[in-house]
Amino acid sequence: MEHVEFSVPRMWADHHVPIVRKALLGIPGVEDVYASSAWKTVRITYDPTRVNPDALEKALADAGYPVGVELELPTYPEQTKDNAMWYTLAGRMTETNLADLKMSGDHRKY
Amino acid sequence: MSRYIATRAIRGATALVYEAEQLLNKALKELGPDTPVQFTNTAYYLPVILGLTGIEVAKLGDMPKVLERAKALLHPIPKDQVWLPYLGETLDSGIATLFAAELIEGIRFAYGEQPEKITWGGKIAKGGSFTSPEFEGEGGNGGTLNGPIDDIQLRAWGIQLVDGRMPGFAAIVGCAKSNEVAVEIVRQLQQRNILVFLSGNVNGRSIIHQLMEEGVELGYDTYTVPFGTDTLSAIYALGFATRSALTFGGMKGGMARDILLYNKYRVFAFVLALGEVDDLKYAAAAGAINYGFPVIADTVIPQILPTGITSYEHVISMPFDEIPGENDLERAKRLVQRCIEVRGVKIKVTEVPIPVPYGSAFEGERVRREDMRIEFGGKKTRCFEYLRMANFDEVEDGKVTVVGPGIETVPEGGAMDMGIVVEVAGRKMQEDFEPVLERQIHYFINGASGIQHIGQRDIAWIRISKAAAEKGFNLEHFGKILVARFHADFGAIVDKIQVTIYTDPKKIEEWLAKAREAYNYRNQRLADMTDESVEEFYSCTLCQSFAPNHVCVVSPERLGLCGAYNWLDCKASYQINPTGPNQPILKGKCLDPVKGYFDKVNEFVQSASHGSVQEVSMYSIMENPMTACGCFEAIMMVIPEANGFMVVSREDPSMTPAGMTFSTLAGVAGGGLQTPGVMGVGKYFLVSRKFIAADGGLKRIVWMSSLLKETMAEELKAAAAREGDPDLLDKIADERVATTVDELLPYLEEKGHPALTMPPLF
Amino acid sequence: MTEFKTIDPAAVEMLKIAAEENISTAFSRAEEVKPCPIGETGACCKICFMGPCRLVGKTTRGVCGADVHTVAARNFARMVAGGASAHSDHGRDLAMTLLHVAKGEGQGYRIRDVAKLHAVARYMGIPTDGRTKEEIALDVATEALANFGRQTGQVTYVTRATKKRQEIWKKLGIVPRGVDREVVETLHRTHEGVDLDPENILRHALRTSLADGWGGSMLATDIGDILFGTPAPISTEINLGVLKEDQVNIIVHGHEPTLSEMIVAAAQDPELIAYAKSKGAKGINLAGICCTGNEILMRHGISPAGNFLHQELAIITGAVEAMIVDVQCIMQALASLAENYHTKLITTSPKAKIPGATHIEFDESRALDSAKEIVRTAIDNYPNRGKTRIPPIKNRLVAGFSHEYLNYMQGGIYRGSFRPLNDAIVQGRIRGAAGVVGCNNARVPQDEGIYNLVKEFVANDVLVVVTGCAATGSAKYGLLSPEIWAATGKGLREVCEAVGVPPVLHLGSCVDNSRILTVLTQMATEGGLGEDIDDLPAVGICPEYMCEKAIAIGTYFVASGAYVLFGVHSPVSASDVVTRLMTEGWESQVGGKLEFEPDWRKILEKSLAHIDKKREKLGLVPWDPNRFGKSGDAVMMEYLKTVAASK
Repeated sequence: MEHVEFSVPRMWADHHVPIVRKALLGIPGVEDVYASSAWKTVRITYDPTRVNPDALEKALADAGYPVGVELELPTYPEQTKDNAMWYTLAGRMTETNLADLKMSGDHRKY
Repeated sequence: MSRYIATRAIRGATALVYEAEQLLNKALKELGPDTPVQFTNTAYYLPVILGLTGIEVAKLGDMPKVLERAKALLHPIPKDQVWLPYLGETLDSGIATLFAAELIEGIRFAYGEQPEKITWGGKIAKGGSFTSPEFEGEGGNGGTLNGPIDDIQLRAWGIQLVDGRMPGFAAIVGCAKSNEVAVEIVRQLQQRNILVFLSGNVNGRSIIHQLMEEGVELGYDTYTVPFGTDTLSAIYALGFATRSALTFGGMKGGMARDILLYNKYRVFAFVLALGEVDDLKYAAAAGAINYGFPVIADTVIPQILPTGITSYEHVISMPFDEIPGENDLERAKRLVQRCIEVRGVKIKVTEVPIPVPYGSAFEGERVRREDMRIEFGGKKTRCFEYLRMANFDEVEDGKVTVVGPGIETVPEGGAMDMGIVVEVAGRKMQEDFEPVLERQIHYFINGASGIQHIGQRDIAWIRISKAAAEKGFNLEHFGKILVARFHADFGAIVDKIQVTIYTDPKKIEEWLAKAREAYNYRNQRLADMTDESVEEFYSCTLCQSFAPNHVCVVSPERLGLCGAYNWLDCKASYQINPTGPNQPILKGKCLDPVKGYFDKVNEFVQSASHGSVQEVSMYSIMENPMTACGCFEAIMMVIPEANGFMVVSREDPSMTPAGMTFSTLAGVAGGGLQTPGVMGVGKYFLVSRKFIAADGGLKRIVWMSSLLKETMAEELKAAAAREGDPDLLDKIADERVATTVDELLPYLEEKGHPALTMPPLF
Repeated sequence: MTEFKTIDPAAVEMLKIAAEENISTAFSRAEEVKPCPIGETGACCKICFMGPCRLVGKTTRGVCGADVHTVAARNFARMVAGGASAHSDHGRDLAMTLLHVAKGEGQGYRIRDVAKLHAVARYMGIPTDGRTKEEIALDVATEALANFGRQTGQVTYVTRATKKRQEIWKKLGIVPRGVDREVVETLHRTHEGVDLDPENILRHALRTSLADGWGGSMLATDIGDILFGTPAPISTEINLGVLKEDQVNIIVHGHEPTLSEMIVAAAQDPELIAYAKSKGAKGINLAGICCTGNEILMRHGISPAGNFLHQELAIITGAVEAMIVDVQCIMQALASLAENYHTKLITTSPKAKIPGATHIEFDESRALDSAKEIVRTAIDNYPNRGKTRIPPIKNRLVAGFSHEYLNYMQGGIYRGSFRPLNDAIVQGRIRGAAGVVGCNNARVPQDEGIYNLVKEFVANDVLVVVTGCAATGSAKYGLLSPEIWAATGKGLREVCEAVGVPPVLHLGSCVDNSRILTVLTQMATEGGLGEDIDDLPAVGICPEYMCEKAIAIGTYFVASGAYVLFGVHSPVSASDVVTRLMTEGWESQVGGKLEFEPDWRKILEKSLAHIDKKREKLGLVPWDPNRFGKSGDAVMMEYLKTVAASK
């Protein structure tokens, strides 16, 4: 048995994990898979006589999780920009919330 | 936040919103914008989105504007150096995550992919409150997880949430160290009556799998609800939280800050992340923190200890193996204890000296025939319970006696006779409290894991499971439970208590006769007790923690709308806690005996509702009707065309002639507002002599959920006879014959319903 | 280092060059010109022409019989009026600009922050529903302008103070009416032979200062925000090292954002950038000094080249093509100094001209064109540049904390509040808060008091807010960068890490001290820390005050309930009566007091003692430096390292 670990940046949440596991565990020669969405890595235990890392990498890519390829995400503006949330959504009233004060009740007496 | 958490949460949020956009575009293309989006049985659309934005998402085409809002809440990831502040930005991104997650689940519903199918083949208890039609049979077929909690269940839990019996919920995300640990965590929470919501996975394995493998009963009745095996489904927990505020807090969609604050102060919930934490879990946690829910992880993550958004610490890391303790079970126990400390939940745990776990979460547990060691009552044997007041010197406090053979004398799966006689003494004890206390026996005994109790008086039916018997549960433990619980919960009126368990047939005969005599006496006494025969009514402001302006006025002939408190209960409750939510209201001058106006009642309601209600009529729905919190058992609404009213039960999901289902109607009836023509009621009010007496009484009812007709058949028949129309019940339509006014009217005509010829309502 | 009165290495480098080249600066002149010993203590009366009378030695009364207490009080009240006038005239100009914009005049300006416009309208009770922003702005500007000339009633923003505070003012008869009225009344009362009771004079000084803090200054801040945006965090660099060898360096210096905002726009104009390139420069580099620098730092992240005492030093770098000035804190020496270099000193305000400087009047009706003309003049000057000696010294900072953002950052759009801050103070993670504000003063080592106080405060878990030259003074040493967490007390650090902020928050220019008033009021109303500003464990400090504006600011903080400590020396030290009135007297009347204490170590001691005293009075747990410190990324980073190592 041999181990190989791949970085899979697109597996960033646990709903991706079952897809990745299914793609790998379906390959003959793959004995065990530890797919960690927390670290975006997948560790595969496999039988080198039946499957090789290249095939594993290809299977990952086919499943939509190419090794080492970051997820390209849109970027959002810093608050000082005109199109930032600070200007599009945020309010400007600085005032104590009375509902908060009332509901906190005993909390505020510390 | 910490910069690490902020970085991962904002990244997770950005990724999820992006994913939601991809998915939505695909769904719009494949299914079209008019495809309906609907969570199970709810009037609150996608509840988090409705609550925080006011947007009602009913079809896929409603989603793009929500997505735009989510995008507007996103921010850049903090830089490595000279980073800008990130707390507010991360919390916003957390909300964006919740929107995206809810959209994704909504899309999954549109595709029919939710509730999630689970490949494990075990059984899952199917949802439903005790009297729900869905509750037929012993659990569902398994294979499908619960998905979002429906409105019926939310309201069924309402009274427990408000009176503190159910302190809050734990949203568990991920997978525990071992099955053993998973079970212990859940048991610990159940013992404290905390709802457990399950979701998420680590390496594809969820705590749901762990619990199923260990045979833990999952479902509404055991307070453990499996949402789904990914973190996305954790959104249902926040949907539940949001709906609590909308249902009981009288808030409207779009009142984001109020809803979040309501949860911070009123809903004692927390997130427990088991196993490693990924970007989405960080992002969802940021969303939960907006609700004031702290996050506890059993792995190493950065801690956030300063308070403010939450009442206590925001994020706690308790690496499981580093928790001090002899073994994993002890560590699990400590973990749960810490969770409860962090949320600041005040929980009174009564130590009940029995060999099985104990807590309200076990009240709904069922003992199936094949799992049963022995049963008492039911079809084969007799079982009764009788509580009576006794003199101080007749009671030896804490004494439990078993008179007759024990369960070991009966073969596995067998049955035997049993009588439970409870004698209490107390300076404040009154004869009137006997039935109040006796009714508690059902809840107290049901709290033991592996014991099932149904019915009351001489129709009680109790089962002990094999598992409980193996752990050593025997007859004396019934007594021990009752002694412990009566002292803990009714200490103010119960000074001394002794319990005798009879299995000896001769003794049973003797005591059963005494008990039946007492039941008859009480029935008579209850029948004699009228609003006119007493000097004071009782208030119930228990729900004000949830619905701040609502106040119930409970009279002998009108019980609380939740069905849980009648006049005697309130009287006893006042004795137990003289400054509590049940206060005597001297009736004062009767201003209108027909509509039921009393000057002191008005005065009390004005002040207790903080001025929002000026007058209340006890016997009319058309004029200043009593307000409702949200816990009502049934809702009445005027059907002008039929010159009468309909009554829909909380468990009835069907459409009504009012054009609304119960869930939708509840939004109109609840929240402490007076709406003439609409009223929430306890279902036993229907058979009261004072039931909408000013508007014509029971004869005005033109439509009623069939469920009510069936479950209260005898009482309703008697009431109909009393009203002078013994066949009334057959003249009242139900959802089987009419769900629209157009269907209703011909039915009433055909049956000759009396409402049609009564004086016009308007 | 001790050779020069500064702790700033960049300043030292420049001063060495100045000494070598025999160039006079404020630093050298402060050695040469000793302060007038009589005026310094407040004992000189030059109000009428029977004098001036110097009430020293055996002279206890002036010709008219005025004693030293009346004289000191009158001098002090006039300083307050001077400061209040400066801030308020600035506020008035901004209101005029808003009025122009509302009418569709004022080229280049716009209402950038509609949300803020709505908030201000709400404060003022102006309806917003269904109205265009121009309609609302017209009403806001009109109402703002009415605050200056109002004769009866009260300044609009008085209602933004706590209820209790408003009662105190009412009871004492110091609710400010109109800004101009209070200032004029001060000048009248302190005219020869009018108000001769020190207590009565000082009471009106409080009233005049309130017209500044809750009137002119607060309006200046709010309207600045409406026109140019409410600040949100932004990062950049600071100190003379931000000047660029290969670009046209333009320094804006002074106070009003109306000019600098347009210069910012002009400096980004592609045509002008191309023009700069045609002159051999790689681009246009804008930098700020004093509060105009703070204004464009807060809103655009334009790097400040330094604080007040850097104005001459910047020119000595030889790298500044133009220094554009408007009003306040501009040294006359700049004109003659600039003659030694190619630097063009450009005055722009009709209110402020300097002999020897180039005057290009800034015309608001064609603001952008004016600004472009000014920038073009600077670019034209680039080829004249001689040898440069820009010290390679700069530091990083985060600025841009408006009270609106402070509110937001403690909970995001849905949960923003001041609760986390109050909680942190209540629990003792944060011991208290200090505002370190004000100027540089050539009489004391530049930045020494500012730097040391801020550094010690954060090490002792005291959250610091800074404005004006004290802000830039702190920033030069990295105190405004989150990297300073390493030198921050454990409890305060936890809070800073949770929010992501440095322990020293830059709230803006000196008129933006009004933001601090809002912050303090929020802390009081949020609960847990008493009911009013004088209950809070907080102090206000002006370690290196230099001008009358600082005196006005200090006074309005006292009148609002704060304990205020000034450095340098006391301008009323000649009168024990006045000194007592400003401490014990004011404390019993308004809860705040004003003290002068030259030694920053003693200021620190007194501040911490005051904070601890207030904590005790509130019944809060005593501060303990070691109780907290378990949150944050450190544990995680350590863990990640172990994980990485194990692989």
